[in-house]
Amino acid sequence: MFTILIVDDEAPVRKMLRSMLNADNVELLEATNGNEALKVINESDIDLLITDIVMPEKHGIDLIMEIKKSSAKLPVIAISGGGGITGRFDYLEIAKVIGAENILKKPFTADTLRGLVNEYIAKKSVK
Amino acid sequence: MNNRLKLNFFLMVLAVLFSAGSVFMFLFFPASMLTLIPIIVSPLVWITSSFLLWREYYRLQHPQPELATQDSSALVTEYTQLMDDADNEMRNQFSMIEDELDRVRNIQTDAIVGLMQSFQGMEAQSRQQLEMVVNIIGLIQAASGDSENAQNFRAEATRMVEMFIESIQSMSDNTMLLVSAINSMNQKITDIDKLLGEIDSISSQTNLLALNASIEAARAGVAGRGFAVVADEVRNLSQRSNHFSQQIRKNYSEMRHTMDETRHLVGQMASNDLTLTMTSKNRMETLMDEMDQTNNDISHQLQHISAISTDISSSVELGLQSLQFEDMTSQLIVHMTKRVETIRSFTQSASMLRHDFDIIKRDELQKQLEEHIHHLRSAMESAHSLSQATIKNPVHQESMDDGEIEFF
Repeated sequence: MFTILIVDDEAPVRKMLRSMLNADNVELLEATNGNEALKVINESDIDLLITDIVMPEKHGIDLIMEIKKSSAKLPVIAISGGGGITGRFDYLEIAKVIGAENILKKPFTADTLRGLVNEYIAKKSVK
Repeated sequence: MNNRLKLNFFLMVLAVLFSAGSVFMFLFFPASMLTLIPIIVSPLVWITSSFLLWREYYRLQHPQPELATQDSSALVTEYTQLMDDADNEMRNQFSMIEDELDRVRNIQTDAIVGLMQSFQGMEAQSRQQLEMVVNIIGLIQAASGDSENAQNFRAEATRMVEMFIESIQSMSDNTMLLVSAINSMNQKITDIDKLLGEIDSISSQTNLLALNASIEAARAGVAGRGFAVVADEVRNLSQRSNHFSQQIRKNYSEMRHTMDETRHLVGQMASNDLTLTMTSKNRMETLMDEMDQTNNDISHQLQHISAISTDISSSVELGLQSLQFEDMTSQLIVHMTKRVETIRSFTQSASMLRHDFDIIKRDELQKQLEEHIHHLRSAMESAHSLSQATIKNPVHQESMDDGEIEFF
């Protein structure tokens, strides 16, 4: 079973991602911010992290930096509306700099996301 | 029946008896000398009785004051003394009433003056308070942007903030170029790593090849000597290539470490910026909400203060209206004073009349009586006029709640 952790503070977004990724060989877990995500990662065996950037309490940038510091093997797909909330920085590009394997700018299609996820599932199968 | 009437009755009876006796004597003893006695006495008794009757009748028709007798003079004296004492006491009481009425009037006047000043002061202060409230409301409205000055200030502030944002945006653009460059370098470093791997592989294979060549050269003996030299050179080249590869790898490793630090710094910078931005946004929203709430609270409080000021003015007006009781009570006090004077004149007249009744001079009594009756009638007319005047006066209310007061 391939375990994916979805991190986003907005319930409709989590629901949308769940509907895109729902499959028999995929287990989906959810978290609403970075702190919750770290707790889930410590308690469960996660294969892929899909995280939003702008979140309360602990945002996506801090989450990705902490994950890469402690466990560089956990692949990360960062998603965002693009440009952050101020437009000063492109937080998706920065996410890439700090180690996110893939970035997806909203709006993205279900096929694009499923394609990425299937690549990681295939890599795990090979291992 | 008084003593005089009893005497008259007795004399009449005596007259009747003497008349009967004279008739009897005349009839039965006509020649006797005793017959003359009743004949003479009888008319005298009749005359005396008639005179007394007539006198009694005259006295009844023309009553005369009885002369003080020795027995009633003490009582009259005592009565007179008591009446004098009562008279003096009444005068004293009336005097005290007048004094107290004057005091009431003075105290009331002083209190009214003080109250008026107090109410007028309160009204003036209430007006000032209302003016201040109106000014504060005006200032708040100006600050909230309804005035031209506030709009100009807001436009200028907005321009400055936009300039600041443009400056930051420019820095951010440059930073993102740096991030993009770092990403490219990251990719290149990964490529270099792959190339170094290839180089290591090639070097390793070359080394193996050179070793094999040396072995074959040794097998070939002397013929293979030249080949062995070439093989050695190839091995040397391979080793040097490997050495350079190691150095490149070392530099690459340092470069990677620097890149990692740079990525960490960029990540930290972005993290701080994002945290600050989100915190500021939340704080700004909270501050705006608090400011709106504060403005609403201030407006409500000011409206409340304004309403209270209006209430104070109404209360002051009611108080000033209530102070009109001074006029009402003053008029009542004046009436009371006049009544006291009227009563005093009554008592004086009665006292003088009482004293004159003690005078034992009949011929002067009538004259005195007529004078006192004249005085009494004058006093009665004054009292009657006073009653008529006070019945129709406007100060007929018994309390302040009886309605509007008309001044005259």
